[in-house]
Amino acid sequence: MPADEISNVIRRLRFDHEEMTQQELADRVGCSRQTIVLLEQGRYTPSLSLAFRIAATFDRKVDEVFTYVAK
Amino acid sequence: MSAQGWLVPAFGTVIVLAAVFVVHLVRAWPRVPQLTSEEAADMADAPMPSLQKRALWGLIIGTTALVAISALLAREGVAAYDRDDALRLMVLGIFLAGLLGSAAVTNLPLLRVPARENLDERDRVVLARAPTAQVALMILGLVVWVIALSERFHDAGSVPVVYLYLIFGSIILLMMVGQSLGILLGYWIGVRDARG
Repeated sequence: MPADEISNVIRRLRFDHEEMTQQELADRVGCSRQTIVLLEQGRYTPSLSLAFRIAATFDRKVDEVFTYVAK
Repeated sequence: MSAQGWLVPAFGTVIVLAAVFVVHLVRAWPRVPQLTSEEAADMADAPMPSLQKRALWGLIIGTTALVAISALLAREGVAAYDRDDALRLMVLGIFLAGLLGSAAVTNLPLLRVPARENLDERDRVVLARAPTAQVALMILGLVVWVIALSERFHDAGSVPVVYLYLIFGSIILLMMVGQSLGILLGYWIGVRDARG
């Protein structure tokens, strides 16, 4: 079974929110900056709860931030 | 077949099996992702998570203790360790310093609730995976001891009791080093998702 691929627009949303830094976002959602970097690079797929926290930080729904790409 | 005639086919088989194992391990090992220069700069700019920093210190302390004890015993000899109280105390001191130092930086902070809560979900996956490397390193240590002692004392027919302490001590230190190594490998290879 091919690996799931989930893309996201976190980087764009950060810039749309007064150029929020990766560290600020990490502090708000309770993860390390390294995790945010990997998320933005599409090299890490978050748990549902982290995905919801990130979406809530930007006042968006989860599916507006993350998109499932079928392989 | 001579008294040691069985050694050649036995060790030959072990070496062939080990080679097959290593080939499979290398083929199955997750590939470290290639980063673009921008991605690499982003990663380099992000500070290490505290768990990764602690594992690095644990690895340095544990490895230093192992190397120091090995060097001391290689220089003085195991027989001297058996009869010389001062040498035995020195080895014990290095062992305890390595063990407690490594545990103090890697394991003890995790017992405190605030430190545990500071781990994010990726840290938790890395931590949960670390015992794989820990067990592998401990088994490797035992294999090295068994082969080395078998070779060294085969003709004598018995192994001096003092080696039991050395095996015990080295495996305990390898357990600490293995955990740190497992954590660092986890960050290096990377976890793909929150399930690991």
